[in-house]
Amino acid sequence: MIDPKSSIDELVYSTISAVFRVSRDEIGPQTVAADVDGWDSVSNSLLFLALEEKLGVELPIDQLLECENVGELCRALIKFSGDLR
Amino acid sequence: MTETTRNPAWLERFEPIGYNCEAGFVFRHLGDQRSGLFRWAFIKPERLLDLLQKDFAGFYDVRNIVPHADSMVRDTAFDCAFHSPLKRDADGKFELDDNKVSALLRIEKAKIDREVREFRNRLHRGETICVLKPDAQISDELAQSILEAIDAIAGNHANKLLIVSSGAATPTESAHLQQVAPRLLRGQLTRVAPFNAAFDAAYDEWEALLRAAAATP
Repeated sequence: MIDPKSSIDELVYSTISAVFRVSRDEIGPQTVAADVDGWDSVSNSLLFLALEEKLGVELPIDQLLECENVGELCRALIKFSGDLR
Repeated sequence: MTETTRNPAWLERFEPIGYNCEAGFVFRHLGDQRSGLFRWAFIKPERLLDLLQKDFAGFYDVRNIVPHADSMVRDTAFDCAFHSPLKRDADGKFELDDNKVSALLRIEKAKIDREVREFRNRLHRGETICVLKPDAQISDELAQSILEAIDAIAGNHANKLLIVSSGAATPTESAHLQQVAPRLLRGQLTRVAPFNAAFDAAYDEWEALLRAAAATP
């Protein structure tokens, strides 16, 4: 059985890595946008779009915008995916 | 994700409200990395007044959003332009396919709605100094109308409006700041940034002016 937490975490990390062209190893739960070159309030929308495309659903953007770091973003997505079931 | 910073109290009081990105660069230069509804937007004072008087009704309706500059979109209802990941192609259309454009507009709309809520909350709390650097001198009457519209949204008379323009002969440490009416301030710099180089601000003069404005009773 796939652990939903680890699979969402991995999906988020790999998506951030692809969108902002940063090494996967540089991303962790405490990573904030300011830590990643090119990650600002404009490009953040591209990250949300990429996550929606990978997950195949419209995400609750207003909730995701409240997240202050990658760990919070993962937890919000895990909660959302749980709510979908 | 949201960008959070802890700034000095005097700096936290300011809220840029147009007309372009110059104030955004100034606040970033001062260490304030917050976002903000108008911080990186383009809107002329007359349209800003219209938007405020309508309390943002119809703002960023995705049906009114069109490509603007290379990486900007424009709300045609209020002639307000924002930086955006939606890029314009050589034909003046959006570069991406329709599905991606729709998705990004929905995402951007959520972001703008959040910024509007935060803008309203700041005004409700009071003690905010809205900073407007217009594209040309604006009359005291227009400035007063903008302040009244801010008051209407705030539901109080606890905020100020600072109009910033060029025209000062020399920079001064105390800044050229004048209170022209209750809660309505005018400040002068020796120069404002060129339209196509908003980053080229007179940063030291701006800081002196903002500190002086924050110190007004």
